[in-house]
Amino acid sequence: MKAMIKVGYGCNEHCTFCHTLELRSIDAEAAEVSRKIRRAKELGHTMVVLSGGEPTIRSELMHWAAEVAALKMDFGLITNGRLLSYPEVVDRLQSLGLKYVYLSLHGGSARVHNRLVRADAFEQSCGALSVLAGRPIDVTVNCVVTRQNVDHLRELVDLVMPYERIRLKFSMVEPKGGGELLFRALTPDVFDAAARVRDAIEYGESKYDSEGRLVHGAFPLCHLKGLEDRYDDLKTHGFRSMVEVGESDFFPVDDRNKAHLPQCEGCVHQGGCPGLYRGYIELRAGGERLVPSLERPRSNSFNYRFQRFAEWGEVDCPLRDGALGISPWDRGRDLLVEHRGRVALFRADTRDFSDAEIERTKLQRGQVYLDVSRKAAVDDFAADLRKLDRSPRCEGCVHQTECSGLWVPRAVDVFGPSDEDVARRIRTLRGDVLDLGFGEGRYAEAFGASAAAAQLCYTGIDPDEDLVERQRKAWPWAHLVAGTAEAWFRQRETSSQPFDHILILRSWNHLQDPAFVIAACAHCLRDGGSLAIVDNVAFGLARSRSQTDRAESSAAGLEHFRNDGAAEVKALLARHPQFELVEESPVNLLGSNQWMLWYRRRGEQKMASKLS
Amino acid sequence: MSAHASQAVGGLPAGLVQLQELHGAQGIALEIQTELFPLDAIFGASFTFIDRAFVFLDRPKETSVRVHLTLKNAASAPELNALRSLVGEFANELMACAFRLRITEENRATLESITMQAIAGAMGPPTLDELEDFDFSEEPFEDPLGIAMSWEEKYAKKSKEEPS
Repeated sequence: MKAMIKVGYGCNEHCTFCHTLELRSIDAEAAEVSRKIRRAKELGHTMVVLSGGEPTIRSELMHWAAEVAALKMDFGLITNGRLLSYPEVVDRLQSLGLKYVYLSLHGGSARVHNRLVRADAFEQSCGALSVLAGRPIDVTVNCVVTRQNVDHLRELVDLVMPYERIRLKFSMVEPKGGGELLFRALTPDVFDAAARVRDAIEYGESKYDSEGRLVHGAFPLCHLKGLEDRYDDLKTHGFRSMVEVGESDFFPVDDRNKAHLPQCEGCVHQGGCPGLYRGYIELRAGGERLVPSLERPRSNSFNYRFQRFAEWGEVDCPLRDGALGISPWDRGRDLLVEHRGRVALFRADTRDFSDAEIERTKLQRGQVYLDVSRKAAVDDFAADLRKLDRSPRCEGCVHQTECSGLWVPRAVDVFGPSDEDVARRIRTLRGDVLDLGFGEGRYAEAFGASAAAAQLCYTGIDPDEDLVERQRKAWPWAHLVAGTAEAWFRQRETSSQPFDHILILRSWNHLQDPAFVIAACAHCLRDGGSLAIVDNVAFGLARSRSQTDRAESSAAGLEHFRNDGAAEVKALLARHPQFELVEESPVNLLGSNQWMLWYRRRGEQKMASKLS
Repeated sequence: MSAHASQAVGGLPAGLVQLQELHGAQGIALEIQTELFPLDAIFGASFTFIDRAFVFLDRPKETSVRVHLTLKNAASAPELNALRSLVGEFANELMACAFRLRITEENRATLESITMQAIAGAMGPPTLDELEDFDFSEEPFEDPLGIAMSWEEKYAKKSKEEPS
């Protein structure tokens, strides 16, 4: 768990794309950095990484490295590496715990690199690679891809790959500082640049034993298909928090300088994909070239893994008044739970969900639960989970909107009431019923009773053939078909008998093509008939380390193609004016993660003639 | 500030030290080159004289600061020796201040760390016991190629060295 401390913005290079161009004269006082090193320890970090500007031009470098070592943390540098061309400097830093170097090198020749950094630096930065190679230090060479070097990436591959274990990363230039000022001169088309990065990676893979050492950052994954797992950023490097010069405390590392476009909605890679830099989106269009992956299923839950306990202290709130502080914690990914006078710290590091999705799940929908079972996979929500609510201590706190919050478990079954709400409506159904994705048949009893009384004629569709076979024996009153809803509608003859009720119960997010299914439902639902859609939004589970490990190593297949809430479905149904919304039960902070929408097809109700 | 009359003082550099009559009181002025002495050293030296003399500063040129010293408890025409002694002591104090400033600058990192350590200790819990073992004597690194120099410093220096 790394903490990044910016020691100042002065530098011995003057990169054209420098993020901190306007801040170069600002350096932190030595004491400020020392205080932050101690704070990093207090927050539980295991490594301090100094960054800038250029941290190696500070005369206090060894002093800070020694401070970090004295606190029994590892030491790292984000650097242009020039000072590390002195073997004796690396020897000393290594003796003080140097374990990580993120080194900037933007070309495979002096001509390309020196032009970008505007200094005679190439030989020294390359020299550092020779010095660092073979040592037990995690080294990544970072190349910022600009218009000036995008045609020379293979050259850099040839320079770096012969060094065993050193990683080479290609990063899209960020429109910030010099990158923004010189946007047109520096910034290549991100999609064209991604193609050149792909070429460089594939070139390196074919020529060297690269062992996955060629990686990329800040390019949309849809343009690096097949190389999605090579995505690399501060989080994949284990950075948890960072602090700029003059800031009084750490802040979480996040991706707020990047965004996904509306085209990305529903893409299975959204959680792990950086999207595009916000500055790039503002200054250059091109989002139409994004190609979301909608065809693959994704997870509908994520784990908050237990980290450690923190002492409460003699304070009202351990965040606002105590040692934990407010700013270091990610509002979505960190979960702090009150537990017997202490604070249990949980963390969600999943890349299946984006920061925005996790924050919405936790803070806007309140769908975080404590897993009190010992199971790898939860199968009885009411018994296995305790809903986590925002602590009453947070009420009225002025920091509520910026704080990750304190959370408390509530010993109330929130799933039963919402389920009973659906069951109550199911029991009233009469006529021809089509159930899309019936699954284990949670409401089979109600259907069976009505069918036995000749009040209901039930047709069920499910893609699981074994399940269909099993349920045929258990439900002799039902007409069951194996296959997807989409396939069934395509094969269905248009002259077939329409239905009085169509149910999509907890299967909406399993549909591959919901727009097609809704259009098909509109054709085969009688006037006055009902369309019921019920499903669950994604949720987070606070779990022990071993539970999390078991769950994340499970080979269980994914079945959800999206994690829509009621709002997304309403937006889709709004395109079909024949449907009128008659009842809505959205997810709320105090309830379960289940939502329900009940529509009526406009027109006078005409029930099937054979049924009353 | 305006001096009504001025004259050189025997035994002291004529270009730097001058007797002055300032609004009817006899005083002495010392002109200091700011290239040689930082402003903070001039303030420091001036401060040590404020119990004995009225100290006025002005900037006759872009590159210098002039210090005017007038004895507080002297007759309107104090002895020349008293004024010579006053300005001589000031010059020596200025030298000491400049030297102390340089030492402070060189040891800034260590001093700040020790101070922070002391303050952190005084702040009470939570303290980090590990710091008790910390060795503050860590020396900076050797840099024969001058790598650890900011871009601005290096290139500003180069352009200065180049013949005009």
